[in-house]
Amino acid sequence: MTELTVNHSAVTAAGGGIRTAAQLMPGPGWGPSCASGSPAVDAALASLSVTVGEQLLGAAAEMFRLGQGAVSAVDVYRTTDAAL
Amino acid sequence: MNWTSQDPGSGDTGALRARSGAMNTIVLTLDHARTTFRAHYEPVTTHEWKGAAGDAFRGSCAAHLSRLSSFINALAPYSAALMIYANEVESIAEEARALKLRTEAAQEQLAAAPAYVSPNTAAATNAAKSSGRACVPDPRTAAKSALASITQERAELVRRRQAADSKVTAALGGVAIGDWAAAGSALAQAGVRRPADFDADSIRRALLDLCTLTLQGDTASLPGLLALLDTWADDPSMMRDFLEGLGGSRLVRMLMVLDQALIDGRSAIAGDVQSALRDALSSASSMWSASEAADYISALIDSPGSTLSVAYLFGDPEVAPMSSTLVQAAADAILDWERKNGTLYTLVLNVVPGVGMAPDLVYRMLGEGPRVIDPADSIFRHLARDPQSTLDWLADPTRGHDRIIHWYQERNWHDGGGYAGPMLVWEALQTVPGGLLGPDMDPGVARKLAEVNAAIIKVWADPDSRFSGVMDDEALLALAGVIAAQLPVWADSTTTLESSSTVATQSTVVHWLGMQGWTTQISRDALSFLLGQVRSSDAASGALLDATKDLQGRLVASVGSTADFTHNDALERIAGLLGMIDGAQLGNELAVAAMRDRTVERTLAITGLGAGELAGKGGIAASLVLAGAEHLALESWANHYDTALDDLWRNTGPAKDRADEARETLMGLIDGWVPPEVVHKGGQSADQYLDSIMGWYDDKVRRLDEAKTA
Repeated sequence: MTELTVNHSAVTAAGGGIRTAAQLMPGPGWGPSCASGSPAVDAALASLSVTVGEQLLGAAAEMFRLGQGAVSAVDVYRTTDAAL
Repeated sequence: MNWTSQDPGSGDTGALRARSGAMNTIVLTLDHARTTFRAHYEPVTTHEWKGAAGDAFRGSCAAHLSRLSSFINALAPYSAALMIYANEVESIAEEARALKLRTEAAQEQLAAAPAYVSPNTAAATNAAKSSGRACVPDPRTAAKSALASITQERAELVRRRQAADSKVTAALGGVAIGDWAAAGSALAQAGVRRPADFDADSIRRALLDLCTLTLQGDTASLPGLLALLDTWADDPSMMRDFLEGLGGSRLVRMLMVLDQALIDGRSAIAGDVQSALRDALSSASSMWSASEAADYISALIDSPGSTLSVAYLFGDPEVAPMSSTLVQAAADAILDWERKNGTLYTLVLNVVPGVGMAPDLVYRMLGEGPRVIDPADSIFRHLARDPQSTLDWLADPTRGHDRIIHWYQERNWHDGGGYAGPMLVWEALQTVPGGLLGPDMDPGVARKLAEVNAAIIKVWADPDSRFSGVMDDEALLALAGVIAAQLPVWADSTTTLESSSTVATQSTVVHWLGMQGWTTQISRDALSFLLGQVRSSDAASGALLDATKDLQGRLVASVGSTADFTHNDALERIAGLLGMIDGAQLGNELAVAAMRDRTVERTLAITGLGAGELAGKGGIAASLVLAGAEHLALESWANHYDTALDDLWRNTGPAKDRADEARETLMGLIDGWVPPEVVHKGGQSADQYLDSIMGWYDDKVRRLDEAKTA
């Protein structure tokens, strides 16, 4: 059986910090729309804006999940310890 | 305004630069977030968090950091590309403006020039050219020449603009890192548009909102829902909050709506979403207490049309295992439902769709007619995976016996998923850690197991409530496993089969194992019945015979391994096992094999392999049981011995022949294996010695014959 060691406060602090870092990530809405003078360039910019926005939100969500997961794990350990 | 050939420099370069700057800010902010992220997770070393979850955390963080770096690297060139583009557009615009001024000047010159050139003027011009002297050009010609040059320069600007457009358009190609876009899109669709909005509640609400859209028939939201579920599936508390928010009833509706979308061909990923919801329940189930699990599963089961969904949710113990707490709560809820409704909690299908949840859950055809889906089968296959917890569940002083009564006596599994589920559970219980024959025997566990075994035998095989259904091969193989697991005890006990009807537990010494603990004492009726069940399957009979032969090999090898386990003891138990097999006529149903009356001679050929050699390498007998006989020193001997016994057991002759064959086999063992001083102790002959051993054989045959007759 794998040995289990958990520093509750350290892991909670790490999880909380990661969550905060995720919340400070840039969000969608990359700059104002602009008339580049070229329809092809405008279309590329619009498409990229959507893609980057979704990626940013998804990347932040993933980071938030990792932080939340660490915090939740400590909650589970703490609950289990209490039950034992 | 879009650029034209007359105005190739058109465009808002200020806005382009602002976009470039905004992208640069995004990259810098991401870089800062990456640094912060790394600074928080890297200190969580194995010193701070050691274990599988900690390893998974570090692995996931490292993977995310790597993907984040790739993302930043992919975004960084966008800012520069836009800036270069803006500069080029601005340069083109400036040159275009200059051309415009020159055009206007040339046009003015052309307009001011006389429309007619006199012959004198022309002659003077030609003379000047001939003499090499400078001359004033013809204004009209000069203006035309200037306009032609301007046209060429403008065309060059158009080519530059086209090139700049192509270059920046290519550079702005989208960047895709994994499935971030799908998750981000789903969050945005559900109204979570900024990372600053993230918290556990907003994610949960986003999941619920997407489920609501699905329930309203919107299949366009499924990719996002799938991405979010995949992202959060391994967060038990998030999945618990989500599923509690969704509720058992709506979870059932979700699965059914998705099933219909699959059947109608409206979504190719609806099945993946169903699977993700099952994973979510698997994850959440680890968080629930017994009462919470009971509440959730009750709502699930009480939902209209829930049967298929419940069978599906519990239908893949390997990939989506549910917690024992939830599984036991589900079994109890179905028990209550079936008692209350007086019928099985099953679904009978006249037509099984080719896609969706049903195809993998249909158990069998009832003739040419309907097919059955039985959630209890899925649930019992889950229970079999955790024998320790399941033993406690069945031995529970408040409800344990009621559970045994329902699942092993009242329920007609034949009209459901068949008897494999309960038999697999019973077989799994025999392997519970701490059981009498398991490693690290725990007296409390051994007693609990003995009592549960006795209770199941009593309701399953007791003459007053005897099982009268038909079991398939899988169930019978499991039953053979139960019997095989008990054989070391039943072969040893002198009280086994004493009673015609009493099944009991008692603390006893298993002599040849040198162990003492609580065992199940089976009646001859019950054993006869159980063996009779096994007899109806060639596969199960073969498995039990293999187990019996294996046990006899271990008995032989155990002589001398404990202080008082002698050749006599081993032979008596072998004779007893032969008697049990023959008394139950277990061999008679097997494929016919001609009785070869000289096979025992091969046993005789194994000479000089004494007890010491057989037992010496095996250590104590208990370890032989755990390790199996295969690795012991008796291999070559056992091969011949197996053949002899195999021939014996496959005998289809009358009882007298079987007894003769048993005598011959045992005599072969005596001649080839038992030391002469043991055989002829007190001056007895080998036949007299054999007669004393055959008592065990005759006793078992007689008792099982009596049981069959009764």
